[in-house]
Amino acid sequence: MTILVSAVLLVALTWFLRATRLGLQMRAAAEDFRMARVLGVRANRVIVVAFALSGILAAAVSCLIVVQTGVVQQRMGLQLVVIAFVGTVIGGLGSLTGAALGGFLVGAASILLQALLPPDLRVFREAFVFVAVALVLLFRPQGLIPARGLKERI
Amino acid sequence: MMPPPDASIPRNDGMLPRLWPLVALVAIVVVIVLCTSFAPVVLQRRTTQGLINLIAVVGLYVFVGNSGVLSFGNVAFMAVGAYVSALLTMKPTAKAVFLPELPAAIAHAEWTNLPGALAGGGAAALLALVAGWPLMRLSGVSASIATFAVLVVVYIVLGNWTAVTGGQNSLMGLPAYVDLWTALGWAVTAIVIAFAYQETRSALQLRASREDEAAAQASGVNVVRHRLIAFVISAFLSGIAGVLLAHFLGIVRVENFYLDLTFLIVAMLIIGGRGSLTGAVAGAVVIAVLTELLRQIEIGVTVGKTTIGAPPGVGDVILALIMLLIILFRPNGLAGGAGADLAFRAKLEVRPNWAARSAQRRIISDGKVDPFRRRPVGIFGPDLRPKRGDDRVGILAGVAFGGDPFAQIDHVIAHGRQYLNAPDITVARYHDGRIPAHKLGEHLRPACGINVRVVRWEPGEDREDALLG
Repeated sequence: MTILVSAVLLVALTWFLRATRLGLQMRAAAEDFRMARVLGVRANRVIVVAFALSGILAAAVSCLIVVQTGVVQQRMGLQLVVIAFVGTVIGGLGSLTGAALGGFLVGAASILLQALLPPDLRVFREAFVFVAVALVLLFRPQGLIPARGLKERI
Repeated sequence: MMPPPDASIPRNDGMLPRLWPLVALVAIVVVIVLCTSFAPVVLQRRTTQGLINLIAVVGLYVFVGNSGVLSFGNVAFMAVGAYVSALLTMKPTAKAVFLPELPAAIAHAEWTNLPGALAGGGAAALLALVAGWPLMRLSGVSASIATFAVLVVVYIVLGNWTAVTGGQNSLMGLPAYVDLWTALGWAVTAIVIAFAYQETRSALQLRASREDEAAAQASGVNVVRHRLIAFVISAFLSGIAGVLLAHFLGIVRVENFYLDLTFLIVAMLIIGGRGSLTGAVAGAVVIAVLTELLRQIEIGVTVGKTTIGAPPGVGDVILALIMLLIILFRPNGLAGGAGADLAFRAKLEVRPNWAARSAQRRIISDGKVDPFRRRPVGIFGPDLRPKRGDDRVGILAGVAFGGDPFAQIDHVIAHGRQYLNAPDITVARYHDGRIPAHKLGEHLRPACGINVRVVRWEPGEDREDALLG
């Protein structure tokens, strides 16, 4: 169920970003905000839509989580947001594939460590995950799959 | 050769104007504390807590303000400071009860307050040195996430290293010695340290990298090193803030040093204005005052038997709204980069009269060139001619930072001969002969056939360290 919903959402998002006018404008604004505005993209509207979109996705995620755990709590999102943010950055800001990969890697690393670490060290699982995150960043500061436009040009 | 000097630009008129922001900030903090020292004990305690937050914000500012990199890791340094000081100052009997598995050296230690606090700050600084060594290479969001990783790792380790920290249990029984005056003393110290640091050459170079990292690097600024210096000083101050918080509450809980505190401190800095020390202090003071006012509103006014007050929780909502409004209307924070930074700007705008100072243009630095890598090390003034066969390169370059970096090249001398005059460089220049600083290195390389490192040199300044950075 979760996998199915995630797959559908990912495909839908990719379609939106690649095939619609608004998606194109969004990618343009991400690449070069000022240039996009000069070329007539209503950047503020684009940002509002992007913000709303991320809200929709977050809502979908929370539905999945609640159905899975059966618990609703006001602070339950915090941990997830942290994971998501870290995942986006190590995946590569500005690229959807990167974000998906990054999120997946952080999650997978967390689960694998939980399963493989000796019990004494298991409580330190998150510390290991974040050391790994720092290492990834050191070797690929732009993320694993960097967006083309984000590279600084001099 | 050199464009004519601009005589209309004001000269630097000495130390006093530069010290103004420092004096003003210290005075404001002292006045606030003097006022509250007559207030009820509750308010005094709130003020003490506010001062501790202020130290934490100033500590965060030292790194964030000067480097432009947002750090989420400083609360980790607070936690380290708190635990180190707590473990060193607690009575051995108390430690025997709460932490029976403690290593003997720590178990028997019973330090006094000040050495304990300094050890706490020192431990935080040491951690920053070790963690920052690799991490300071990163910039932007990557660097922020890396500092966040430091926060999480420290939180997890402190929360689960039961033998030493007590893990999820609180550490109790440490001397609660921090009162209003201790906090005031440390707050003033923190402001002075932050100010003294930002006046140094290292901080100036770091702020240059904040404005334009590529240009600063091209101008010979060792960004990693200066970031690391700022990170360590920042961690020391944060560590001190943690020490004070622990000894103010008389209890250390690892939960107190995690996301909530991080967000609070970062919010205070950003709302105040992360570009200046004034902003950091303003943010801490304004948020503390607002929080206190809203708390009073929540408590309400008691008339007879009925209490008129806002429902609980409204204060936080209003505070969040006010912070949102501040950020919307003053995106650079309350201080908006003014205040303490004015002094900095004044310093940059000084362009000494070239003609008058030409007497000062003598050898500034000397050095040897690694023959394999052929990297220039020495930097000379224009009236110096290295001897024939000298493996040295001289560049005379002045680069002004802030907004519009440019450099004026007089000439380059390498291997004992003059390689070019400024008019020979085919670089897209401004009409008055200025060249974008970050283009210099790459344009000089083909022009001279050697690798040339462009150094920053403020004309008239003849300190050696100015050029070797």
